[in-house]
Amino acid sequence: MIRTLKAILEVRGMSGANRLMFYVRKLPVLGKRVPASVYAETALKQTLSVVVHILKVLMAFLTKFAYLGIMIYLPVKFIGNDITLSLSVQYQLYLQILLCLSFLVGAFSSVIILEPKRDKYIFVKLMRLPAERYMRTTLTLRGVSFLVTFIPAMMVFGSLLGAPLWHGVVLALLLTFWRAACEALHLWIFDRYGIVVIKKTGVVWTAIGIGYLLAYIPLLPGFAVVDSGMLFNLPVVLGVMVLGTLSAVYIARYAGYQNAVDAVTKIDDPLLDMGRMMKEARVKEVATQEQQYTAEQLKPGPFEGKSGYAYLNAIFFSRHRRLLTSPIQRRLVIIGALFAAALLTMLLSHATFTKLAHYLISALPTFLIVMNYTSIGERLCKAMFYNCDLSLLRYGFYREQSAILSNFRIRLLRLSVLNLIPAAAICLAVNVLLLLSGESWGAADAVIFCVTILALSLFFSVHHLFMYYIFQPYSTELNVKNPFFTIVNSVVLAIGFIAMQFRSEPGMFAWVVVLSAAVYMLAALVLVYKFSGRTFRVK
Amino acid sequence: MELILDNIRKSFDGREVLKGIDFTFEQGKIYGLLGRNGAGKTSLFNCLSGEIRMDSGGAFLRRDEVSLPLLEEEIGYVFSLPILPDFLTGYEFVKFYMDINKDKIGPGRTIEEYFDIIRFEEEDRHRLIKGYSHGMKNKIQMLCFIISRPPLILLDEPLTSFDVVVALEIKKLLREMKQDHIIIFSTHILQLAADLCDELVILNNGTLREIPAETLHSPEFEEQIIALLKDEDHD
Repeated sequence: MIRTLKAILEVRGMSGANRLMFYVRKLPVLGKRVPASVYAETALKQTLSVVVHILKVLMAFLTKFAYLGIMIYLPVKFIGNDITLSLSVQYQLYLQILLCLSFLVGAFSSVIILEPKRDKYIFVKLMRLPAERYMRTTLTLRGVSFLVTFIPAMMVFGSLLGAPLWHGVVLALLLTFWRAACEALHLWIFDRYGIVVIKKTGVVWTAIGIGYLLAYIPLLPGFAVVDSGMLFNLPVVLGVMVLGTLSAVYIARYAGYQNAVDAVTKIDDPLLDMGRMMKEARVKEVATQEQQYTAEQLKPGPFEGKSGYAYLNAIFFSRHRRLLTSPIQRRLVIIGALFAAALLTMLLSHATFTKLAHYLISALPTFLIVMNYTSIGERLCKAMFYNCDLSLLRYGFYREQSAILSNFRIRLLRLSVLNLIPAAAICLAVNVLLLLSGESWGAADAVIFCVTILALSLFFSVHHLFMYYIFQPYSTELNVKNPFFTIVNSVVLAIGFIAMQFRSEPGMFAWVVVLSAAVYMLAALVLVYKFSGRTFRVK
Repeated sequence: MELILDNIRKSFDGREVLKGIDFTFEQGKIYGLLGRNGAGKTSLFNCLSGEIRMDSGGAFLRRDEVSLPLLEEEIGYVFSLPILPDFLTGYEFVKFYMDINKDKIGPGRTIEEYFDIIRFEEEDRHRLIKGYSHGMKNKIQMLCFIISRPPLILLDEPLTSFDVVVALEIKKLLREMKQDHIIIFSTHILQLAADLCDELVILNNGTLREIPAETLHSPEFEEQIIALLKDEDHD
C-alpha cells in the first residue's frame, strides 16, 4: 500500500507541477521568459511537485476553515448579533447547521467511492493500477486527511462560540466515521442494485435543497432544536464510531472495486470532464440548430434583394432569431414583473411606493449598471463568433479592413435596435410609475430620463461590439481568453459604480451620457477600421 | 508568373519549424508538397496565407519582371478541415462569396452553373452547411477559388476525404485550371502526389527541396522518396 501511495502521489505531484508551469507560461510578461523546454526539467519538477503537495495540504486545511467560517460561523454570528442570542444558543445553531450540511447534504453530495473523477480514469484505466489497490489507498489517504484537516477548524470555531476544545475533536471524529458509513451505504446500494445514487441528479439536488432549507430557515428566527448534549453523549458517539468502523471494514474488504470504478469512468461521461461539459453547454447556448428549418425556408427568396455583408447579416439574424429574441423577451418579462410589483406596492402601501418613486427620480446613475446587463451584446457576440466569424475569419477577404468595417456597421445597427426594445420598455414603465406616484415629474424630467436611458442603451451596444472586435476574447471553446477584455469591462463597470455615488443633476448626467455614447460610437468606427485587421482574428 | 519564397522562417516555442524556405514556384504547374507528419506543411501554408505571421523572410509574386509582396486576396486556400459558416446554405455561401469578390469574377456564369461545375446535387444546394459531409464542404471550398481565380492556390491535404469519383472529378478540374495558376498541393500520400503533380517538393528539416522530374516516374520512385525523408532526419 505504501508503494501504491508513493506512486499515486508522485503522479499527482508531477501533473500538479506541469499544471503550475502551464499557468506560469500563460502569465503576460513572465510567461514569455519560460521556454517550453521547462517541462523536461525533471529536477525542477521534483521540487515543484513538493511545493504542489505542500500547497495542497495547506489548501486542505484552509478550505475547512473557509467552509466552516463562511457557511456556518458567519451566518450564525450575523443573526446572533442581529437578534442578540446568547453564545450557547449560537453554538446550538452552529451544530444544527453543521448537522444539516456536513452530515445530511454531504452524505449525498460528496461521495468519493462512486464519484466520477479524472484521477480514477488516469490511474485505473490508463495506468492499469488494480482498482482495489487504487481505491483502498486513496480512501485511506482521504479518510485520514479528512479527519486531520477538520480538527483544527472545528476546534477554532467551536471555541469561538464558547465550546470546549475536545468538542472539536469529537465532532471531526463523528463526521469522519459518519461519512465512512455513508460511503459504505452508497457502495452497498451499488453492489446490490447497480445504482449510483450520486448520478441521480434529482435525488442529489433534492437532498441539497432540503438540507439547506433545514439548515438556514430555523436560523432566521434563531430557532435551535439541536442541543450539544444530544451529540456529545456516550451512546451517540459510540454508536457512530461502531457504525463507522463496521463500514470501514466493509469498504476495506469489498471485492468489486473494478465494477465500481468502471461504472463511473466512462470516457464520455460529462461529469468526468467538467471542462468539456462547460464547453458543450456554452456552445449549445449559441449554436445554430439545423432541424428547425424546413426546406422551404432555406430556398433563396427573402434575402435575394440584399448583397454582400448585408445579405450575410440578414440571414444570420433571421436564422438566429430565437437565440436573440428569447433574451429580449426575458428582459421584457422581468421589466413587466417589476412594474407589476411596483403597482402592487402602490395599492398596498402608498408610503413605500412614494419612497420607491423618490428613489427612481434620484437614482438615474444606477441605470449605468442596469443598462449594461440589459444589453444582449455579449450573447450576440458569442453567437456571431461561434456560428459565423469563427469560420469566415479563415478567409482573407473577411479580414480586410473595409470588410470588417462594413460588417461592424451593419451589426452595430442591428444590435442597437434590439437593445432599444427593452430600453424603451424601461422608459415607459418608469415614467408611468412616476406619473402615478404624484411626485413632481414634468415633461422635461421625462424627456431627460428617456434620453439618458436610450443613450445608455446605445452606449452599451457599441461597447460590447467594440470590445468584441478589438479584443476578440473568445477561444474556439467560447471561454474568454483575453485578460484585457475582462480588465476593460471591469473598469467600465467600476466607472458605473463610481457614478452611482454622485447624486448629480439629471440634466447634466444626460448630457454626459449622450456625449459619451456619440463619442464612443465615432471612436469605435475609427478604431475598428484602424486596428481590427490585426485584432479581429481567431486565436 | 512566379511565386518566390525568400528565406521564410518560423519558430514555435523556440522550436524552429521552417528554417529558411527558399523556392520558386511557376505558373502552369501543380506542385506536390510532400512531408512527414509535423514537418511544417500546414505552417508553411498558414504563413503564406497570412493566417500566422512569419518570423522573417517573405513571399513575392513576380509578373513580367515585377515582384510584389504576395497579398492575402491573391491566395485561394483549401483547408484540410473545411471551415465554412454552418448557418448558411451552400447556395447562400456561394452567393455571398460572389458578392464579395464581384470585382475579381469574370462575367457570365450564374451560381447554378458554378454548382454544376463541381457536380453539386441540386437538392443539396439549399441545405444548411451544418449538415454537409466533409467532401461536400471541400467541394464548396474548391468552388471558391474556381469563382475568384486567385493566382496562388494552396490545397492542404484536399483529396484524402473524397470518394474515388469526386477525387477524379477534382483532379480533372485542377488539371484544367492549372494554366492560369500556381497550384501547391500538400499531401503525405505518395501515390496521389506522383499521379497528379507535375513537380514534387519535399519539406524536411525545415527546408524545401525539389525532386528531379525524372525520379517522378521511375520505378524506384517510392524507395528514393522514403530514403530522402528518412535520411535527413539524422543529419
